[in-house]
Amino acid sequence: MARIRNFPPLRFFVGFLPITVWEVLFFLFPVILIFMVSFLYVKELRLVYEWTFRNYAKIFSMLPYWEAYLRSFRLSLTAVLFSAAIGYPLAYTIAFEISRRYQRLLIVAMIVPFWTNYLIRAYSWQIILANSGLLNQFLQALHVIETPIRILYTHNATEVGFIYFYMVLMTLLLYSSMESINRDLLEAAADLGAKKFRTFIEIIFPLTYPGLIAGSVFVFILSFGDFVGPSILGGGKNPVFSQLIVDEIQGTVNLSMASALAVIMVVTIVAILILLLRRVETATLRKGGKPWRQ
Amino acid sequence: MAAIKGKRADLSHMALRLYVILAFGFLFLPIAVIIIFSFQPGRYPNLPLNEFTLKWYGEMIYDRVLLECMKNSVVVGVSVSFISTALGFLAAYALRSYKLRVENLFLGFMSGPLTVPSLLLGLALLIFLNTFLSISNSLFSVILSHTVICAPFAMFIVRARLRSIDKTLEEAAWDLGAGTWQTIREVILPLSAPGLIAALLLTFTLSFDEFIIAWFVSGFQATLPVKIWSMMRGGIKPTINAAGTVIFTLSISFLVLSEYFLRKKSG
Repeated sequence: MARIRNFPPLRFFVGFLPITVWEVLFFLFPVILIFMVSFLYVKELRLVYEWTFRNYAKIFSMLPYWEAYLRSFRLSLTAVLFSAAIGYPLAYTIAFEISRRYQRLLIVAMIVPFWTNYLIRAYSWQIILANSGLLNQFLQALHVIETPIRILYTHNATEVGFIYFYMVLMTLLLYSSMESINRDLLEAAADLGAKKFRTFIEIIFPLTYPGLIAGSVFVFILSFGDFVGPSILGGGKNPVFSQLIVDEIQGTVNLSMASALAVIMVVTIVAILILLLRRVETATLRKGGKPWRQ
Repeated sequence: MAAIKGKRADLSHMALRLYVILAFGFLFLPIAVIIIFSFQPGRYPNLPLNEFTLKWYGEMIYDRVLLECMKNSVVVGVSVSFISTALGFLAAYALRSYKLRVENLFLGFMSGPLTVPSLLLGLALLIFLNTFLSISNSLFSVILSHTVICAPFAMFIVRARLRSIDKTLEEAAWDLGAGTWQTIREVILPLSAPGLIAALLLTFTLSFDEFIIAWFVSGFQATLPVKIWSMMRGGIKPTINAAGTVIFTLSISFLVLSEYFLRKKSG
């Protein structure tokens, strides 16, 4: 009975059991519950325990749901592109052009806005982007524009918010993949006569590819699931997908409908994860590199 | 790589540095705006700055509801940080002591709550706690819910710290006759103290700043972010700037403190 002799001691369970029980009970189980509830329906604010597809039927048959989904998808994709375009040169400069002493400082400085209350940051963008806000006042004072430009309460403001909120994450992931590049490789490339540009194309970029993909996944997931940014900055008449979910929870109190919408969001996120993370794997296998630093 | 040191290299170097400055300007602009306009007298932010005032802070201090919500947030934050750090430490130490056959699965599962959008987690917990367990929405629900996110977070922080402790120290303690619990108490806990403190501070701010889940499950006991949300819906109010500046100062001091503890060498 080797099994029993190998049975772990009490302290094994003292260590693992509390957190596992907590996460199974309050994370795994509730998330599974969303799936089940999405197949129920609500009558007079109460859940009716009767299996049905009516929530999904409603979602797939009505245009506003499709529009909101596509709007969210487009906004999140744009956020990924912009945060990569802004974050890549930023991470590159910090990792390769700035001395080690200041690198750590800059990285901590970058986390500061990221660690600031989300609502407050969104509120601040409201002050900046409003019709009579700081940006318009500034541009009018410089006579760049005559009449204020309308940014707040359009999804352009949502986009500014998304890029602002999530580019830090992209930059940090890119930075950590750049920082872990063995500097000898760069020296070797230089010794063999490669110019900076060629070193970048042939060494740095391929080695940061996993970081780029991971960053894109995170930016996409977070902006797709973001409700605060679009509601504070965006156009209320053209809701994004997450706003529809919140409307069902706080407005019509239809938890089964909210769950069905949430399931669609989960499926989208999982699909993106599988699709992109597999690309990281194949890219890593091809290059034979190690994508994650421990 | 001192080979290429021409004018062009200098120029691109300068351009990249300028870019970093601009990017950081973008990142810090909203924070600067909040802080600056919390000290401005006008109800609406106007550009030529006026004289400095503490009027909005005064208004904030006399706002009983706001203070009540701040107290709620502190109660939740403190409870969550202690529960989470305890759970996180236990798991992190167990991870160090035992080779778990399903370690990757376990770690993947634990990073789940940190990856899932809080909107989904909030909905899931609302349905589970409120509809299925019939626990009425309250601060208690908020504590349960925030711990779901904060416990794995604490585990990852403490685990990183425990890794830096040499295994031989533990073995030495055992050789000298210390039991498991004594070793934990007298070797592991003191050496991982900086990690534990950092975990406490960071999970506190994580909980203190969390809005969506708290909004769904707090019921009539609003936390500070929930209160700020309802203030924001009522239009521009400079007390939000004042409250924002206070929250910012708190979160950032905790962040800097935890960074200090994480960089501190053992002992």
